[in-house]
Amino acid sequence: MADISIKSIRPRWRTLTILAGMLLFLSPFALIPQLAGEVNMCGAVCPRMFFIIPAGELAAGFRKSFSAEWFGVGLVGLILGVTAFFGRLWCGHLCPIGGAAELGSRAAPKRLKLDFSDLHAPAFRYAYFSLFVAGTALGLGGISCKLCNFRIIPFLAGSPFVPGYRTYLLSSIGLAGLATMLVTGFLARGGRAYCNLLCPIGALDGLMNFISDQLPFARRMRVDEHKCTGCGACTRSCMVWALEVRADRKVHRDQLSCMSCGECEGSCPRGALRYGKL
Amino acid sequence: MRKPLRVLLCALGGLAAGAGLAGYKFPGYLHASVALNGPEKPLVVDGRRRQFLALSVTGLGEVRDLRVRMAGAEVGSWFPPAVRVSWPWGKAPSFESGRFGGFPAGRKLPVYLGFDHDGPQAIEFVDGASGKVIRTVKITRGGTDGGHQH
Repeated sequence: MADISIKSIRPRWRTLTILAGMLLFLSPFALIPQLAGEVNMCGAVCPRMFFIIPAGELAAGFRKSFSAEWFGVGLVGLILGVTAFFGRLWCGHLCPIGGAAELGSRAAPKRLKLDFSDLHAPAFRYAYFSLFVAGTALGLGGISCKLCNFRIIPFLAGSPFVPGYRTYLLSSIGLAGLATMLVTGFLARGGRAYCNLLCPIGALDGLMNFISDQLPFARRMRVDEHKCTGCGACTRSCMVWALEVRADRKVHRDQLSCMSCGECEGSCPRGALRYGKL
Repeated sequence: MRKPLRVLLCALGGLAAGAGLAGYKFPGYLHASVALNGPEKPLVVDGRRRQFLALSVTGLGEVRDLRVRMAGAEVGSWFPPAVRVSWPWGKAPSFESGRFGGFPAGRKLPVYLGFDHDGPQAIEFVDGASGKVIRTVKITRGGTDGGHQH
């Protein structure tokens, strides 16, 4: 296995890249949204509305949403392209939304934290995602902006500066979103339960990570089975419970969930975890 | 718990969460699209006194200066940016005291209104340059909780 160790650039590097992501995407600067004439991750920057199947005529509906959220379309395309080659660098290293929740969760007392690892994340995630995408077309209603993490975190960041954000956050939908981010973000072990269970971008990105995993050019966090003794030390460091010790006493990695963050690498006493190609 | 059962239960949980959220209408909240160049349609809110409207305003045509007003309401937006960055393209609109400015043609504008629904009320969209009322949107009370209206 050709490998590149990223032990030397983690975890302080990852904290810095997350902070950079927050600087680029969130108030007060919102540098990237302002490229598209927006100030947060809504409007043209929204990365999660354009792939919702519309009610009515499909082609016209998709044309309208792709046109309205053109920057979000480009952003998601870039994210998925990078994932195909290098793993989930957006989710694990740059996303200001999941990153803010993760950084916030580090400040929360351990005794208050909720552990969601008993849930089978891919099963829950893709069942929820299927209704996120098809709910409107099926006549169930739309999830759309409800409990949207790409709204709550940017609005929280902007609330000291813009009264409109405070008004929204104190409405019924805003309070529900805050409660969701609190339970599945700031108070979740690892801070990434929302990312792993509810985020539609995470769902898409996980799918790309899984599909491209076996391609020869794909770099991922991988387990060297020759070195692995199945001690399970790495499972405790994973924020998205993607690692599991199986009956063969080897650790298996779920590439549908793995965020390529590299946090597991330093926890392995035998150096069995590496970032690299097959 | 055996893995197939765990997978099934979690999948059902995801479906339940998705279906529940898709069908749920948050009390006192309405997300609606208002087309200034389309047919006049009232906004129907639920029975709660305190209301929050999140509007996407389209169909501005040649208007470049839009004022939104409603008696007794707090009119807001997420514009302007806290720190304006002078990119040569993609300039974010300005917003102050209910007035939008500096936006290109075809722009969709986000407007928030927080108010107590005490009686007949209406939102007025005014061309700031001419002072002419472009559209008046009435707010009426319906029997169901708010959701999304076009």
